Amino acid sequence: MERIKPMRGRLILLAAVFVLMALPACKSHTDVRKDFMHALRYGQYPQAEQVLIKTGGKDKDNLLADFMDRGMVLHYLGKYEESNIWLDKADVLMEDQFTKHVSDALAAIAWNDTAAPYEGEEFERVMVNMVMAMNYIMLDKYEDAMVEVRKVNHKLALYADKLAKNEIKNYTYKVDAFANYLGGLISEAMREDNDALVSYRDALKGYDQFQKNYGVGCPPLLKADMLRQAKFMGLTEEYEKLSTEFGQLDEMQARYCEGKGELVVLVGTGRVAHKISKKWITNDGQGDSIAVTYPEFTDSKFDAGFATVRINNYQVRSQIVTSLSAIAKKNLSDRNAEVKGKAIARAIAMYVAKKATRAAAKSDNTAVAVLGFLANTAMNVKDAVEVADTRSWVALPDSYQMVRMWLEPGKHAVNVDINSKMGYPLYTQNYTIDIAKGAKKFIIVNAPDRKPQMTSAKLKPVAKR
Amino acid sequence: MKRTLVLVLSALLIASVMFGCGTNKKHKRVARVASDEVVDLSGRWNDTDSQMVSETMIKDCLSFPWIEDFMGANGGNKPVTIVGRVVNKSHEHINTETFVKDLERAFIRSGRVRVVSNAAFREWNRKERAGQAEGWTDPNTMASIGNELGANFMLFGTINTIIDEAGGMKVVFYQTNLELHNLTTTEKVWIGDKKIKKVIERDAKAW
Repeated sequence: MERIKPMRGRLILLAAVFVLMALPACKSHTDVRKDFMHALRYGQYPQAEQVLIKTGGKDKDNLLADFMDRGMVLHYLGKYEESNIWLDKADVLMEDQFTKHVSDALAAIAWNDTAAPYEGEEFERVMVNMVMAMNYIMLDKYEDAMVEVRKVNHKLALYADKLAKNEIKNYTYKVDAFANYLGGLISEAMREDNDALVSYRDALKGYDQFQKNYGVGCPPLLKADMLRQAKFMGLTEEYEKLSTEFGQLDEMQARYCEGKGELVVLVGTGRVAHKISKKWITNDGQGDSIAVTYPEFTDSKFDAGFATVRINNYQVRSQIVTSLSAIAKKNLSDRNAEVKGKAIARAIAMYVAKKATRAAAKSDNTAVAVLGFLANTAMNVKDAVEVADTRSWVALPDSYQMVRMWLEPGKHAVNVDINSKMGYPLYTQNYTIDIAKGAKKFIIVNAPDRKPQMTSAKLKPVAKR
Repeated sequence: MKRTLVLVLSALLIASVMFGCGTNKKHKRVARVASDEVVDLSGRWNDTDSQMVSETMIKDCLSFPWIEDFMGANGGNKPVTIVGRVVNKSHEHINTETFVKDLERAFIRSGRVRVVSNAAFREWNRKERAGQAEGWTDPNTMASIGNELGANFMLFGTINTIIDEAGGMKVVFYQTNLELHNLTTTEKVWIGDKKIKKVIERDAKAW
């Protein structure tokens, strides 16, 4: 081997340093969030918040996921105003992401999608405003809650336009029936009866799509709401038509209960599906591999199944109004062609580059041979350890379910029993409400697998996995 | 082959530099500016919009004949107004109090219209009077009960938005409507409106 001159030696060292720096992280976003997800599953919200404070905000490309998770944990802790501050940051960041930075796009193409800022799945972008709406409801700010619901419909309209412009026809997430339903409930609480009925009609149409795409049918509660509103507003023809279409319904729910108030309990159960990294890798028999990595949503583990609301001796079981896990999985699978196409293109480009470096490694020129060897090694190591972009809003619940009850005006003790998927009781959450005549009272409940911890008085370390 | 290697390593170098590109460094500067200076940052409703609504509504309302009509029919007594409800039906969180307060202030300063507290402040007033009647306050200085001034007119309003958006361009149209209702006859004696249209453009690409 000819003696390597100092300048060439420095070049080799420099090249090696750059190549090693460029190796992508071996840990996926889901791996990094493991402690956080564990704390969420068991309702250890103060611990979950601490994990985020310690680990969040450090990577500018993950800010959106950090803001959304932080906002959600604060929502679970009942800190609704603070939650809205973080979710608004997420909303503003999403708007700013309209501007695509060429440097980010190039880095994502060259290496991995994690090199570009996380932009959120479409349903996550909508859920930011939905959670903000729920926060405003709990703050008794119904007008502000409706502002957020209107933003949802605007975002979905924009998304539909974007899909149409790119001639993409097979996307399913075009309407959000739950957003329309919640909008109707808020409008009704504000005594905007016409707006409420319009929203309920949109929700009914939306649930046709929800049934087809996500297996979530129209809840009987919505049908009862439509009948009640139509009758209350004197729309006799619509009432008759809906009665025939809906058939037998809970008569108590379907009629306006004069002199009473209505309790609306929204329960967020379980944990939303999270992304895992999938890899297809093969070796060409000459020492070089070709690897395709892509993300996939998988169900998260949790036990909480449904809720039963008990007031004195009267109890009602919850009805599902949206399944965020089903939407997440379908949303991503709709983009399969785009996601896997990018991964395959990157894998091919990397393979071609590897062949070039392998050839260079056989050069008679020592410097070229060493550089080629280093580059080839780095690329093969990258293939072996690379993980797909698994960033997502992991703090969301698996589904939202609803319970409604007409109550006499005054104070009531409300017991919300959280049951497992098999129907076994897990724990009970207790509330005291004061309901006015003709008013709606909302309670938003979060149902992890254990009774939620709301204060950090007796913090126990989160068990490591 | 050497050229290919140089190209590959250049690509690696550029990509690795990009990983390091962008920092979380924050810079902050604060400067005091005139309150009527127009500063548009995000494209959302801001203080300039509120001031534009105030100026238009005040000018229109105070120049409308409803004041003179009332005074003429009521022996020269000034009309008494109260703020009812201004509903935000828009896509943004807009604090309607800013221009409503400006309107109340203009009413009082004109010397031709009287203003009474709205429902929220009335509750505070009544709590304070009830507190004074508990025996701790000098009876000669107590505010008497049963002498609240009744309003003749109530102010209602709405803010609506229409949004059109495509590509990097967004057009937001705000319409603010305010109206005064005669509390006795329910007659609407004044309706004012202010329309504001904004165009917000965002770059599709940047380095």
